[in-house]
Amino acid sequence: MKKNRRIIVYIATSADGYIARPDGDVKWLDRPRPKGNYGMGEFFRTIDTILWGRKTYTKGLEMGMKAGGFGGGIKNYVFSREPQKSGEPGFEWVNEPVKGFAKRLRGEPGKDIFMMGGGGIIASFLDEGEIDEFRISVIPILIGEGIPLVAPRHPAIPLTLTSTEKFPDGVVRLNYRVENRR
Amino acid sequence: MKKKAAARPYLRAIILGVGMSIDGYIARLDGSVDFLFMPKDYSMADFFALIDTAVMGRKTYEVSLKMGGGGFSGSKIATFVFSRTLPAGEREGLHFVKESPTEFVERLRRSSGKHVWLMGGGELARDFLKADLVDELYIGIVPVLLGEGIALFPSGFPQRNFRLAENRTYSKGLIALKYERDRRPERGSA
Repeated sequence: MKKNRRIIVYIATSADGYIARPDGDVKWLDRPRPKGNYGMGEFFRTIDTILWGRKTYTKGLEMGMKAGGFGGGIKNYVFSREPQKSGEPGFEWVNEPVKGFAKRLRGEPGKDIFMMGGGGIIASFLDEGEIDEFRISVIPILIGEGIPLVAPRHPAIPLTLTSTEKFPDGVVRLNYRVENRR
Repeated sequence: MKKKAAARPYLRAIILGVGMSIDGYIARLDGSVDFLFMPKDYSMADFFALIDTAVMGRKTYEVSLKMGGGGFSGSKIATFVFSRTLPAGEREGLHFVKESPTEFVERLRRSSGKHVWLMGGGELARDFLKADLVDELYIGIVPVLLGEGIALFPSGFPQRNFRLAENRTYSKGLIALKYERDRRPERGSA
């Protein structure tokens, strides 16, 4: 049986709902990891593709990210309206419309797809009905202002809570399904 | 070594309780909160048993007046409204105050009593957080992405760490998180 590839937002937010400080800083995420590292290893075994917004990708490069750092055999796509700047190996630049890209990706055999964010690309994919799940790790911290999970949009989208997980350091993961009529 | 936090290490805790969307909004841009709901299996009774005092900002007071509320007159909950413009004093069963949150909390804690519900809005909550007066945080997360709206707090207070005290799931996907303020110095930051 052919398994449908899901596009999954797997992300951390502050308790007040932000994915980064206004300037993109995520130092507040640097905290001692509990044993099991929030099940990230398990999650990475279920995916083979990562989707990046251009700003998140740039921030990642600043922080020393390398394509291979996420495990071998993972394909990385960077969405940008601008022409490709750097030739970082292992990252493929995309500037085609979301719908066509997602349809093609879903048509290829493979594992699930990790939507890294940020808020802009998440909103663009949501608009097209191309996000299947949100897995949000809520960090026990208030940062007061920052970049929201989804870039400003009008329609409210109800999600279905599927499960929650609690980690020893007070991080709570909330798993939601998006009811798309794709 | 990890030690379980002692229950209620402070007299008369200040509890900030809010409901928000998954993306962190407490209201739509026009102020409406139609997306919030109270699941059948959720009861405020346990919470009301903990408190004997409620605190709100002037704007929140005015919104609640329009909605036909305006404090808990007739109940045993003492309600305080913070305002820079309205005269201080007791009127219609409410206590209007002009002092700073710090002065207010110091004064309140001189007399014994139960905990204090900080109802909001965002500006008053921000002022309490800025003065580091929020001891507990109760957040209800409604399973909706609003995409835009009024943020939980207006900007302008330093980072505050909390420890998770409880997480519960109610029907229709409502999440209730309870946190206690973690005032230990920053860990792990070089």
